[in-house]
Amino acid sequence: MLAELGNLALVLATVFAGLMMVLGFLVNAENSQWSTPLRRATQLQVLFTISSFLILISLLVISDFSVAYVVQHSNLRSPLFYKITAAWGAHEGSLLMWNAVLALWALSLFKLKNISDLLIDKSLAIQGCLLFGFLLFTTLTSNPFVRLDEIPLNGMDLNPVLQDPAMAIHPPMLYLGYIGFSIPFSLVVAMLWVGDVRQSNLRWIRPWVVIPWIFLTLGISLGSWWAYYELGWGGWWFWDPVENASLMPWIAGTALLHSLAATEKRGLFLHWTLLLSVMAFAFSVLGSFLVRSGVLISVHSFASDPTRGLFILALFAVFVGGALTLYAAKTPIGFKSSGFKAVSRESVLLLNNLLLLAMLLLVMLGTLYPLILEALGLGKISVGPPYFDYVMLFVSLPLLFFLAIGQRLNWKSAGKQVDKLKKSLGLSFLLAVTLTFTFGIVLNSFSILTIISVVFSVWIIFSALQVIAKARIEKKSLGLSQLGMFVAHMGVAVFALGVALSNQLANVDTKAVVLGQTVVVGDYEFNFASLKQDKELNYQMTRAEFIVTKGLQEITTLNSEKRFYPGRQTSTTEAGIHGGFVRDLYVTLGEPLPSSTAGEQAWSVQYQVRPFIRWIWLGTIFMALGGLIAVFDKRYRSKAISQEASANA
Amino acid sequence: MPKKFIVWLPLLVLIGLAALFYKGLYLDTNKIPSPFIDKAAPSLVLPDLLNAQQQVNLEDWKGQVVLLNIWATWCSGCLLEHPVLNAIAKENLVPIIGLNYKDNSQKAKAWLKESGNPFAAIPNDLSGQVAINWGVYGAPETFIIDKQGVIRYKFIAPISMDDWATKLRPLVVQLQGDP
Repeated sequence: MLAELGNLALVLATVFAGLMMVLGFLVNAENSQWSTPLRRATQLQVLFTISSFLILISLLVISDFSVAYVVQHSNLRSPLFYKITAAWGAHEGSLLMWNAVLALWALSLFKLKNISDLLIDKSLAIQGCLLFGFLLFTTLTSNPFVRLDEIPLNGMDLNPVLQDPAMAIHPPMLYLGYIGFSIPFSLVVAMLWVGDVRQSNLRWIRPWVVIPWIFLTLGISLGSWWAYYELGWGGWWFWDPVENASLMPWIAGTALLHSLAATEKRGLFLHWTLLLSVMAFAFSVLGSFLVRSGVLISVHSFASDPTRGLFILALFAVFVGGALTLYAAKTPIGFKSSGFKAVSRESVLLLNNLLLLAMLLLVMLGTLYPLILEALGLGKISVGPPYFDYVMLFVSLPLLFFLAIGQRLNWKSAGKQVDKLKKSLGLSFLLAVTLTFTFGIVLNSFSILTIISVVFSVWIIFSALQVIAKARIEKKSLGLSQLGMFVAHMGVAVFALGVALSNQLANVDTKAVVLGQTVVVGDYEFNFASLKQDKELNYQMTRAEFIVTKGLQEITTLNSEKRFYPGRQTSTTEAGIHGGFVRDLYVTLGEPLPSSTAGEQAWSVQYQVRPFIRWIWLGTIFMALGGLIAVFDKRYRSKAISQEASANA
Repeated sequence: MPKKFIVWLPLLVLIGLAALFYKGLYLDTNKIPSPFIDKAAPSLVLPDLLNAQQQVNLEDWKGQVVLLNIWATWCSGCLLEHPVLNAIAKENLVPIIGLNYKDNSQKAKAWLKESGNPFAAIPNDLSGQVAINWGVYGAPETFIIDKQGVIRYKFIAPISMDDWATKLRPLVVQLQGDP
């Protein structure tokens, strides 16, 4: 019964999305009477979409094994938490969540106060198109409410690698980000449609770019964190096609944030801003295509099916193709801007955009290259980290360099100010160099690339702190937008430090060890202290205990587990990690090895000491925090209040 | 005028991408004809990954059917495939030679220690030169070489247990029956 209700809600949601589309097309400056029905239709649409998603969750919670999705992705023995998160653990459910998030974001357009009603109505029409397309896709090819003829006694359980708290909230975070970019997309398409592309309109999009960007930043970071401790290899980014698929909209969104700043403040880069608004969402949909169609091989891929792939491809082509056609046909050409000087924040923002675009293209090329070759009949290949690690250097180092300078430059810029700035930036640069070399000599092992990355990163932090300190001393307020920018940029620097230092200073060793044996890695001694078999709710495990000492002092006890999930006949590895601000200790229990001496069972064990690796995720938290601070800047509110005030008057 | 053209550029890129993806959807992702099929295998003499003093020479395996698997730790498909190779090795039906392709040897060794070593020998192709001679486009790829040292089959993409049971294993058994 409940499954039928879910189905009904899904169908109604599709119908109302269609209605949003139709009403949205009817609305125009002369026919504003359609506006109210459009908004009612939107509210009902959201209600039905959310209901169907909640019904799917309920089906999982009550373990209704008459529903195929429930059987395939949950189990009576699963903890309640993972019964719920199974709702987005596989293709059909996650697509339904995609729709639910899309609907919620559409509702957020009601909150946009400073843009004409017509633009909001047209944006709702676009959101209606998106919802209609994705809901049709869900109902026709991937309905999660399909029933089984024979009801099994138990289900197959959620994929064990997904049974993890970080992985459970990673998809919702990502989706809030990806799909949040649908709002700038819809608004820009609406502006082009109505022919109302104005600086003052674009300005109000900013929070709708920053908020999804925050979610996406945290979502990607969580995924990377998960890969670090769950996959058990000690890496944090694998340049896997699906990881790249989430990185591409992030890069486009980051570029958009920056070009939007120039558009908002100075009316510059209007074309860029329009194009990037389309691109950020386009890459989100592209990512979902790459993940769900199986065109690229990846550890993350959902079970693939060409019909599904074709459907998403068609959606992608129609949505993005439509938007880009509008962009090409209706972008105001000859939009006059006041121009800018060679040394100004504008010029550095332009550089930032070019570098981010290069980064985006390089990631895209690396991700799609195997597919391109294959389509040309040249075979299937895997472009690995060697390519990405190499090319990323060429864009990320200049990005860091210009970031250190750019964040201090003013709009327009002026001669006198530049001289002062040179001194101040020179001072922080010298400080950064001194600090790096002192530190580097102590550790005696820095490569030239590490030195450059570290100097630039420390420089960014110092140069940001100079401004914050100066404002403190002069008792001036920086403004939340400025403060947010500096915090986010320091986050970038902390991230870069984490990448450079964890890479340079890592100490990794894999050994065959028997119980009781001690292995020395770096300054640490790892003693293989015990091995136990145990049983949990839905898995069996072998747990190895390692006692770690440094000198004579005991640091910690690490547990690494191999888990076997009978529901799915698969096993996972849990690394034992001792985290710290300046270093992580990481132990992974490998396979039992054929023993050489009688009686003593040897195990392969990987030991890692990874200095500063936590700074990678710490950096992303700072980036997100910076975004959050900037959203609260009062200039995104003041006008709303004053308009409301004038409306009330 | 140039500006007029430039605004259409994103749309053109999109059309190109969409065409590419469309084609990608219908590609047979596994079997791709290789000009090397039914030809004598190119020479393969490389140092062994686990013991650099020792040379691996494919010639030495003449008289038996072998699988040649191209793998690397940077290739996520290969890591996915690894348990399947382990299972194949356990069957003791056919030796697997694992050409380690343009890999970091330390990482490769660590990976094998941790995840098991299904390979009878591991030629270490640091430069990728041998792989080029074999017409390898990437990893993972698996060749079946018969008793005479002739390449009989090439499989691209990670092998699943299903692929092994339905495609590769029958051919291996058949070739083993040949003189």
